[in-house]
Amino acid sequence: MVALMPVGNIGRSVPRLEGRDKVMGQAEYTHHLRLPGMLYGKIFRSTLPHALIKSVDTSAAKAVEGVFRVVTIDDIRTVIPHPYYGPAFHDQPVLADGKVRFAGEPVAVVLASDPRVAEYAASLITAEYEELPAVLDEVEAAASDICVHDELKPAATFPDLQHLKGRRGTNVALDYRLVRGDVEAGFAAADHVFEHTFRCQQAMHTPMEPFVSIADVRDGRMTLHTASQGPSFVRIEMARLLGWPENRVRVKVPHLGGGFGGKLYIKLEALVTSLSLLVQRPVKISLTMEEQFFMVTKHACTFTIKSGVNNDGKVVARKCRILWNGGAYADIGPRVTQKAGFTSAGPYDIDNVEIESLAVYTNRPPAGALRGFGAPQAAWAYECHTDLIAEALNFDKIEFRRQNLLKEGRPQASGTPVHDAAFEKVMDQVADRLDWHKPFNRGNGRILRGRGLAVGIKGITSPTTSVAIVNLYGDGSCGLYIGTVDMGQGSDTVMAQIVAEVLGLDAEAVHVIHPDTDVTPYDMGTLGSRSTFHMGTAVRLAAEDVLRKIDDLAKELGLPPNSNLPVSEMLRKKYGMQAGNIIGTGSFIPDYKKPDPETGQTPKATPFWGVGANGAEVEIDTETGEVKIVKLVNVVDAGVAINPRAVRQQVSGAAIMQMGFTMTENMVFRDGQLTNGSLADYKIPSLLDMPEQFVNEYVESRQQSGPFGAKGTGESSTIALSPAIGNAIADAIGVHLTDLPLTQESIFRAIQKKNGTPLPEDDND
Amino acid sequence: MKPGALAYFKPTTVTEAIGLLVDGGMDAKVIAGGQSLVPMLNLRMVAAERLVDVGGIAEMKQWSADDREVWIGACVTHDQIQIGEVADPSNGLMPKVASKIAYQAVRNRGTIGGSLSLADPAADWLTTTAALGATIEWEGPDGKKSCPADEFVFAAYTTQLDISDVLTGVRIPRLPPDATWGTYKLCRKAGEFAHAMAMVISAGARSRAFLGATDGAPIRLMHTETLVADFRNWESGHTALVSQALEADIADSGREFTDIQLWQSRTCLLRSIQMSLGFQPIKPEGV
Ligand SMILES: Cc1cc2nc3c(=O)[nH]c(=O)nc-3n(C[C@H](O)[C@H](O)[C@H](O)COP(=O)(O)OP(=O)(O)OC[C@H]3O[C@@H](n4cnc5c(N)ncnc54)[C@H](O)[C@@H]3O)c2cc1C
Repeated sequence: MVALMPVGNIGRSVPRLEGRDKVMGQAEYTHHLRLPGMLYGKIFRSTLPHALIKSVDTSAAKAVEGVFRVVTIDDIRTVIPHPYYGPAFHDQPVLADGKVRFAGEPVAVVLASDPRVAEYAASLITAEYEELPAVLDEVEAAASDICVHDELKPAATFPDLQHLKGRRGTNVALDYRLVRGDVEAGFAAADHVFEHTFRCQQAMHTPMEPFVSIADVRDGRMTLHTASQGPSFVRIEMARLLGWPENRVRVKVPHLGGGFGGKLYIKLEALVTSLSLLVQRPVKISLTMEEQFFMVTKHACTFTIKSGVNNDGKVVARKCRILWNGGAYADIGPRVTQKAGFTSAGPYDIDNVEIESLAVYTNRPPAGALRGFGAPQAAWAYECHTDLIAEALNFDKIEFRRQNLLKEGRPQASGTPVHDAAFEKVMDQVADRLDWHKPFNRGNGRILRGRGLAVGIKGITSPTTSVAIVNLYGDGSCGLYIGTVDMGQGSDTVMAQIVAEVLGLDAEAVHVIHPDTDVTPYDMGTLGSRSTFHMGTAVRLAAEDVLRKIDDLAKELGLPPNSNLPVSEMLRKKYGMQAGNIIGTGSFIPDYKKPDPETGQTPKATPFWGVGANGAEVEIDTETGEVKIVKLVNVVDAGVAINPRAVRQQVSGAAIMQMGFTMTENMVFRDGQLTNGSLADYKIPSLLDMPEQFVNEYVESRQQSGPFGAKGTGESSTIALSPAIGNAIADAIGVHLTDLPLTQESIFRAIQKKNGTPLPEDDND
Repeated sequence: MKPGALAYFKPTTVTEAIGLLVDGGMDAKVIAGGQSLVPMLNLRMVAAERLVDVGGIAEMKQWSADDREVWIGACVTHDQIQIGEVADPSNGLMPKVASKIAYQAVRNRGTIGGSLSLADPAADWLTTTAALGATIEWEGPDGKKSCPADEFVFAAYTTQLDISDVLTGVRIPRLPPDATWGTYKLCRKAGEFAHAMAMVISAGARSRAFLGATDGAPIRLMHTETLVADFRNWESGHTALVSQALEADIADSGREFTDIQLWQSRTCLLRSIQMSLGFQPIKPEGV
């Protein structure tokens, strides 16, 4: 091996490699791309949540000058006989097929070379429906005989869904179960039993760059330019839809203006591919901000949690039942159901656990992956529940948690032992930053103050694969070929740091080649905090492969050991001029054991644990319900922070996002119609909403199995943020709210009810 | 989304503007700061084929003052009022109100005339001009007109303005130097329109009190005004009296309030009254 001095790329806040381009407005996005001969598609959407389509009248749209073609599912079927897609279930038609399942579902598309012409023409399309009763609430839908789909159609790629194949007469798309010990016996033996039900609302990802895809299908080959978090998956699924080998499908992804889980799997890609195949011209569809509400959302859910607790503070049994509102199409919902399901008993060491987690179809816009993959919804329940128990039994909230937190080596509810998960450390650091043990000003009658904290756990989607290629060119400079999508999280920079560390270069000198499935190797997707760990490991292995090859070349050239001849000179010696490459490859898939289908037990459920704790200090105006977050503290376990600044940015960004889901964001439906589907009414946090004190940190720790000790951190500060704020509000006003978001109105109503002066609408006792 | 194709005109006189509006008929719209109109055009909630930008009319951007009143041109921005560039007839009420409208970017462009013309029930200037007893002035094909601010609005987004009228300015009588005021509004989120608002002005033995952010025009609270005129300072017993007066006022108005709106309006009103009596806006103890 060529001996190398450590060069200090790890633990260095390398400025973002793409930062300058972005600031100068020079970064490439799919939105900017125009291809010769390209048509724009504009979508005509259903106005009803559940209905049979009797007819679609496209004549007026077709008559508009400049309209190239108007397309419905019948046209699509001429080129794709079975036009259904989806990662878990092949349940989603490219365009509505005889039936609409949510208000906002695409029914027809107008193609024109001028997007304004297409948009105008689309507004002239009309449809006649036979309305069906709709089911919107997940609890109702789980037991309803109004069925969103006639039959369940699991995709072949998910072996654990095969038992659902052909099931009829149900909206339950997945029934995940986990059993550990004997929960009923646990309750019977416990000194106290507590049960509470919590609800989370439907919300949206709101990337600043709305969905956009361009397909160019010609002569039996196709290129997709798309704002996707998972180019490899897009290629596989498009190849399946077309019945083509993968090597005829090329997927290219430039920078992304945010994804947050929304741009995973198939979104607009199936539609633009079908359209381009049909008209043999490039087709672009870019959604408006308002249309994003109909693409994919964050699951609403209802979670009933029941715990048996002994007088000594030990939680001995816990039962969780979660119903996830998956909307009209499964998307990746069944995986959310299962992955968030298995950690829904929280980061606690409990002998008897039973979990039932159900994915439920409803007539709402589909729900899928969103930063945290269901873990924040689960934590909203289990961490508010934790405080409720502590309050009822007069336990110290921190010591009660400490007593029950999973310790190194102890089995989590799935039976997987916990390693390298700094639960106590993150909790203690939050407590410290909140001055938890110092006297606290609780305010006076009008303004009450409170504080709360919460700890979260998340399992990582497994098993998933990443492949990387490191290429040293003739002059010794380095290119890194990866399918990881840098959507603002800084992955290019971190991957460059890893490669640079192994090869003894400066991270700043590494060129990262963006995803292009003709060029970059397979990666399962940029999702679920997996890239630093999975791709980071593949990159490290690829770089080490390069080192081995340099060594081999040195031997081949007869160089003395440790000659340290620069690579460029070695290549020049070998080829007689500046030529050639040294190419290293690396691929990584973590150990994984499939859970037992009956009990969910497995020794290896996740490659590492997502760990975060949050704390909040709030001020409540008891006469109005106004809440001010005075201080928000977010602390995660990042393992070794490869790029400290990037980690802190992830921690703060994720926290702000979850703060929106906690305080204001809420997709409101009336009769199945979304009533606030624009950013004028649907409110995300702005700079004016930042807490006065906003602390974002990570703890000293190390993920033994991660690259240079690192693990993913993109979601860790989302997990327990909502309950930290909820618990702080409860600490102030003495009432726990159970439903997100925590609005002024709900806080005010709760205060009045507690004071014995309920508002008329709440006066039902 | 972006608006449909538009013709854009920037006249330099009111007469010219009215001519352009008359020519455009139903399809013409005035644009001032564009802070409300442009989003509505983008969302296609409003369709217009012709925009007449009144921002080029010099007189509408001016203001004037004598010792009785201040006249503010319709195109004066919230920011100009906030920073005191415009003479203040209101003992500080108007700059304070201006500073709480949306956020700075909106205040930089949004105008007092645009706000009044649009007549969003939650608009701060609707309630403020009504409470100050201002006069709203406009001009149209039939000449110049004016009316007291509390008669200007018929209902949400509906005013006395006809389709080709241009709101030209607001005439505001000066408050006596010893007049006091109080105002409080509730917003769901920083920089948002209010969902409850109250304003109280007391000058000697006379008071004016209004609720804003209702489902229509601001509501004048006559019973409350009579009651408050007698208050010299705040006593805890006043709370019940104000509540009774407010209920009578709301009953008189014939308007519907949900349980939460009633509570929120009451709280805003109580705080406005307290503030007009010299109480500081509440702050938690020791913070
Ligand atoms: C995020 C946000 C938050 C806001 N929050 C608040 C708030 O808290 N309180 C508040 O009061 N306002 C708020 N506003 C509205 C803001 O004050 C606007 O500036 C104001 O409502 C419209 O003023 P403009 O000059 O921008 O009018 P424009 O948007 O240009 O016009 C608005 C309407 O008035 C008509 N119009 C404009 N000027 C005239 C005229 N001279 N004669 C006849 N018709 C005319 C236009 O045709 C249009 O229909 C908010 C706006 C935004 C975007």
